[in-house]
Amino acid sequence: MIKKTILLLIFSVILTSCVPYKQLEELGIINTRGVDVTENNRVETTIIAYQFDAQNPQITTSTTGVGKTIKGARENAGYNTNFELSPGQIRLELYGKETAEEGILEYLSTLVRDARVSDTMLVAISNITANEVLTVGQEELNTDVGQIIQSLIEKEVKEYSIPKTSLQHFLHIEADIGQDPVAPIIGLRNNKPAIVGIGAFSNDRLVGELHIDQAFLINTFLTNVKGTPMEISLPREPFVDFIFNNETNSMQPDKLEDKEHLTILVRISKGKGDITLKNIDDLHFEANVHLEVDLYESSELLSVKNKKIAAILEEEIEKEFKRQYDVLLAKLQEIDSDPLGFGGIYRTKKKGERLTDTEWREKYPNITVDFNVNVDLMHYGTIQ
Amino acid sequence: MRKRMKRSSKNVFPLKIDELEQLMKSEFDKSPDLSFSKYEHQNKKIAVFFIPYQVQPDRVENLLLTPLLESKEEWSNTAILNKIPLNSGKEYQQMDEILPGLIAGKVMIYIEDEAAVVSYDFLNKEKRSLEGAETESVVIGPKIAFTESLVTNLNVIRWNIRTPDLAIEEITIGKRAPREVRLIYLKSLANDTDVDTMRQRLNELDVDNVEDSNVLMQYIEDDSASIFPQFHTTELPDRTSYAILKGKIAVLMENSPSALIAPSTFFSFFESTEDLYMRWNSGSPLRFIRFMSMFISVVLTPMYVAAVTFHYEIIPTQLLISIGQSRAGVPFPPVFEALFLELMIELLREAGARLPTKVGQTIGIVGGVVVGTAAVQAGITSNILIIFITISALASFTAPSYQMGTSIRLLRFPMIVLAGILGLIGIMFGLCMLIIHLLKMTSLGRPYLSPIYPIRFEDLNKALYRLPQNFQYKRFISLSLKDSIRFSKRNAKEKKDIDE
Amino acid sequence: MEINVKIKPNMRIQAFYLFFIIVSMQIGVGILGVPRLVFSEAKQDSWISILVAAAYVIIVLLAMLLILKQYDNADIHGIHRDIFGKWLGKIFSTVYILYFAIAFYSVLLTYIEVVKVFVFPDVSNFVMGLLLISLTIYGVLGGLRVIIGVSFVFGVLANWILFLLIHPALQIDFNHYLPLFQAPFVDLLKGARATSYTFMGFEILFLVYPFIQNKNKVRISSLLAVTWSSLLVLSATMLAIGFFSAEQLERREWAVLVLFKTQSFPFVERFDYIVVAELMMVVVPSLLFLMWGLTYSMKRVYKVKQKLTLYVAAIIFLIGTFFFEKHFETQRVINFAEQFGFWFIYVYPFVLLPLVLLKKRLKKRKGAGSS
Repeated sequence: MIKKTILLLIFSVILTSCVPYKQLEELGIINTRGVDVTENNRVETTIIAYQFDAQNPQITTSTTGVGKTIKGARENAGYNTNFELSPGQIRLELYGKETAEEGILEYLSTLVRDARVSDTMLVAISNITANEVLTVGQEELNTDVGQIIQSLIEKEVKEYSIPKTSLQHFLHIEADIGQDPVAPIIGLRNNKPAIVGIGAFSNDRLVGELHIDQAFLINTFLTNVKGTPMEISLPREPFVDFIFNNETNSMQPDKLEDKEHLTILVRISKGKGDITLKNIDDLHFEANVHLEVDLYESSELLSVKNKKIAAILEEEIEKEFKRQYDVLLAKLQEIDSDPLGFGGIYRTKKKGERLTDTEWREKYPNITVDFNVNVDLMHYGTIQ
Repeated sequence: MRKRMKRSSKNVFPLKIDELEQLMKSEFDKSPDLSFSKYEHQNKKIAVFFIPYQVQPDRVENLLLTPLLESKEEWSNTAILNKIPLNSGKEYQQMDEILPGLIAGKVMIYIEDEAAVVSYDFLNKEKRSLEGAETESVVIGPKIAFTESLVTNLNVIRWNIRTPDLAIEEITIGKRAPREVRLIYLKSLANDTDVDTMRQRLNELDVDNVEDSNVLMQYIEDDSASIFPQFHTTELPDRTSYAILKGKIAVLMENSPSALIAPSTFFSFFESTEDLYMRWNSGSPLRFIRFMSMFISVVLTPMYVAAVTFHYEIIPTQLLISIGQSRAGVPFPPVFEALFLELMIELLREAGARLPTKVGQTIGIVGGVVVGTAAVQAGITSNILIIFITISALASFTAPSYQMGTSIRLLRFPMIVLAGILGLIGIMFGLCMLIIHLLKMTSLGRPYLSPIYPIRFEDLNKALYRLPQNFQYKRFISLSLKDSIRFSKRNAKEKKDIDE
Repeated sequence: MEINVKIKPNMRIQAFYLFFIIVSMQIGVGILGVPRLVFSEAKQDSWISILVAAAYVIIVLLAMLLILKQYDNADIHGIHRDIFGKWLGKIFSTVYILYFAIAFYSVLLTYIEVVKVFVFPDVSNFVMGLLLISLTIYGVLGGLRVIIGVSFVFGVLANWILFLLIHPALQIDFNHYLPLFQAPFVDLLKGARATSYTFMGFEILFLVYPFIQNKNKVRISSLLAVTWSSLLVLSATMLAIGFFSAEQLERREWAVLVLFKTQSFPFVERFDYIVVAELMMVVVPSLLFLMWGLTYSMKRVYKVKQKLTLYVAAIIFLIGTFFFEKHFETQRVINFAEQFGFWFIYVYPFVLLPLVLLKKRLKKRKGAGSS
């Protein structure tokens, strides 16, 4: 028994002298980090961190630091704060536009190398510099701007309006041959942060900016979308007979001349797109998109009384989506970014040599795609 | 005979009454309690001696002295034994039987020149009446608890298990101050090896005295270095009879209000008879909650310490902010904070146990609410930790066995220290050590972690959860009983269609 | 040294536990790194490699069982003694002991490195070694019965980690498995060879066989064990291939651990930390069996008391943890263990089998001649 106790004592003495403490309240816990490249290839990082100080009720602070590497910049930022900045809780990584255009892989891979960094953090880019978004936002809102941007993105991801943009997703898609990642673009609207678009990458370089609605189109090919609200403009022409005229209290069309479009709001309750390679030599693809939509709102009193009008509505929505997809593809081919993953499909069908990135970059602008959109109008709400 | 030098074993009879008086007075010279009265009856000298407070005086007078002295009979030992209508008459010749007999409430009668003393049993044992259980309180089911009187306890057990199959063996242990111990089991059920082991351990026990059955347990358990109790001690007769009927062995001890049950497994300590009285589908979750709370009680506070000291990454951001804010002003590292609070809880519990019930409750409120709030406001502890500590303290009190509950509560301290030194790795090290320890333990030579290891799938149904009675037609297989079938399995109900 | 081992009845174990013995020996730290190793050889056809490897393991296992069946109740040391005689047999048995030592050392170092990379970069090898070795000593002191209990209980308790893989499994990109059948045959074999370190461990059968009570169940139990471990390795590899892109997977040292990084719950943000800690429950049984194999073999071959070997070996290993701090040094130990084990576990039984059969036939003939 005595032997055991002595052993235990020696044991605990050795143990106590081993792992340095990293107590929560002595750390500055980085929540959001912005990265910009300044002149002379120096990295400027803007850090929003939590620090818990009994004297100071304000728990978020922002600091900036400049350095040659991102870790160096963090060290540099550390001189401004009395807490040790630590990266284990980074939830959002924001890259300035110029930085993203030069490529962000080097920054991302430093993140991955550190096992303590979370893989689920969000990756976003800003249309100005990251520093500006974070500091202006912070001053304007006087709360944790990082949190706000995160919830903005998370909300949209939950609605499937934009594709998932966690670090793991971004890296995985970036590293896949024949597919390119996208990331939301955060800008300032009335000096408040907002999602202003979606950035298309070619490998790890930002090459173009897409409209936020186009993000949904991309997302249908990446995942099964559910419950996404969406505004669609349809030509008014086919519906004139079915628009209820409030003034005349009849189905007579109103004055036509000033209106060309009818805008409806739908909720896409289910959506799924898949790509098949029709002809491997011509690089001809077929992309089928199936959407189930519920009608929520329309800009005019549209009365959906019978099957016929529903069919017209479906057809017009299909047409509109097809047009949008064609526009999207043209734009993507122009900037040589392939977020829909045509290259991935091509790779799985290609025999022999493995597909290389450069090979696909050459082929991509020449591919042709037939988009077939199939819309099922499921519900119309409580009124007809 | 006289040559035998050992005083207590010499046979002194026959002798004169006065000689006997001298002898008895010298034996009891330091405690002048012996009542020694001499009577002349039909020309014979009769001495009646006893210790007054050990006997019931009016019964002695009515049942023994009156018939003895008012009769015209010429008394001899045989005449007394034959004529006096009492059933406990015995003859003693040796001093080492007479002296303990006096202490055990016997009245001795000696007729001059006879070769032996006649004794009758008039024990007057002061005892409290049967009361409800205090430490192991139950909501439904029988509530009486054992008392300090062995006879009463045996009476209760006998009345619970009304079969001649019940064996109650008597063993006396303790050299200086002997105590009676009873080994109770069902002859047709209990495993012979287990009974032999238990009997042997009791017989071979070579100690001066044993204070209580909880002490007895420590003398005879398998591994005295372990923190876990290896035999179950309970104050519920209900529970004891349940265990005996399951084929286990119980040990009752004079002057001890708790019974030992052996062999016990780790899981049996979390078993309450209430689980039986509840229906199976409400009993099983309750037992599951007890297992869960044991785990929570051991792991929750260490997890907090580990997360706050080393692994802030695993805390979700929102929780991190509130933990961080509450930790902000605390001047100690989390380990000391946690140890301090755990110590406070232990203080409260200990004070509550010592103080009278009503004061104890007040102390609980003062300690828990007032000191807790003040500690948080003074900034020496964080309020989130107080929540964790309270939950784990509560959880540790759910164990139906007080001994096991205490073991689990004490286990937290080394776990907290390990968590404070090596974080999650330390906790896992502690858990691994604990499980290996449990695997190494035995109770009466049977694996402590049974029926998990060695695995007995049929026993899981009783040890970990309960199924409807129809599924419990077997007794514990791991106990290797003589008869492991409780009842023949009822035939499956005929399958009926709807509306038939 | 007798060829056949007499085991007291209370030391006997059921063949049922053989499943847990073999699984806990096979599934250890090896499975964490195996996806990368196989993938870098066989690419998306890794599953074929693993199936090939599993089939080969089953063949080896059947050969081992055939060898053991030729004797009443012998273990590998008794067989060595019988086939090679006193001195040569001792040499072969010593190689076996060395193998246990090296395997123990490699498992120890790998787990320490995982902890250092994922949880505590600053922890010293010595402290981690002290923890694991004290667990080993404590467990081995309990004897084979307790060690098997540990492998059983820990084996059951550690399984909940598998549920954490559901989340990454839902994010699999099935295109990563396509196109099928691209890897040349040589690469497939290379991929199969890369799993050898992971699949090691079933050789413990050579030692525990005499302890088993119901010998008729040995075959089914051990085959199920090997199948289950192969399934685990296969699904871990497939998950990693589906989850990571090729480029990522080739660079991730412990891809399986990274899979856990994406799972989060409202009360726990990061599960990889908990999984690394929980891995101790996976590693300790292997350590216990390897240490037990070492001490028991020493007793069988050299008649050294098990306790003595245990304490001496523990001290040597503890000192040994000082010397391999760097990643590539650890890798060298693992590679050495792998090379060593490959010839010894996967090839050697096929050398032994004909010798045993030959010897038996000779004996029979002799027996027939004399009678």
